[in-house]
Amino acid sequence: MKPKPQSLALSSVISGLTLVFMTIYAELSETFKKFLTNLTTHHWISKSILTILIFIIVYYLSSIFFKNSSPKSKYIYLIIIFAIICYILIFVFFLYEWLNK
Amino acid sequence: MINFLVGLHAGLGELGSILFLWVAIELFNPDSKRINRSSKIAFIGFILLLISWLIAGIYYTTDYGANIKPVIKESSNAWAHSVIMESKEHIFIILPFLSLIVFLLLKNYQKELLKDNKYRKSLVFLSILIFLIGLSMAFLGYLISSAYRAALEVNVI
Repeated sequence: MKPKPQSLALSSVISGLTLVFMTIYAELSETFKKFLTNLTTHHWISKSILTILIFIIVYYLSSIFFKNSSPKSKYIYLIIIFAIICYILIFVFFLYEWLNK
Repeated sequence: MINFLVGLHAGLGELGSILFLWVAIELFNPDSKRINRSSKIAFIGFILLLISWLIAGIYYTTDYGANIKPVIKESSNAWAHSVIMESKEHIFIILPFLSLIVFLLLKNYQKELLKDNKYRKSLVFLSILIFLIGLSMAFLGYLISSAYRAALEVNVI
C-alpha cells in the first residue's frame, strides 16, 4: 500500500509543531520538564520518542480519512514551510531566553 | 578526552545531509533510472540521519551533559550552550522525518515525478532544505566545539 502524501504532510506538520510546543513549554514549566524527564530518563529522549509516536499516530489516523491521491506540490511546500517555521521558532525562542536572562 | 561519538554523529549527519543534495541533483533532469537511484540514495541518507540521531542521544545524555555543558556554561561563551546547543539538539529531530518523507515519496511515486513538474520541483526544494538544515547543524556544532575549546584554553592558561 502506497503512503498517502496528505497524511505524510499532516503528520510532519503536527509532529513538528508538537516538538516546538514541548521544547518551549518544557523551558517555561519546570513541572512539564520533570514530567518529560520522568517518562524516560531525559527530557530530550522523551521529546524524541513522543515526536515519533505523534508522527505515526497522526499518519495512521489521517490515513483513514484521506483518499488515495497522487502527491501534489502543495503538500510538499506545506512540509517545507512548517519545517522552516519550526527551525526559526526554536532558535528564536532560545535566543530570546538568553537575551532576557 | 576526545569522544569518538561526536565525530561519528557529525560525520554520519553530514554524509546523510549531503546525500540529499545528490538526490536534488538527480531530480533536476530525471528519468526512471535516476529516480530509482535517487530513491536508494534517499534511503541511505535517511538511515544515516537516523543513526546520527541515536548517537547524538547517547552522547548528549552521557558525556555532553556531564563534562562539556558545565565547562561551556561556566565560560564567557555560555551562549554556545544556552542558544546554540539547545536549538541544535531540538532542530535536529526534524531531519529524520523530512528525509523519511522524501524517501517514501521517491519510492512510491516515481511515475508522477516524470509527469508532474511542480511536484518534481517541490521534492527538489525539500531535498535541498534537508541538505541546508544538515549544513547548519554542522556550523552550530562547530560553534559549540569552538566555545568548549576556548573555555578549556582559558582554564589551562
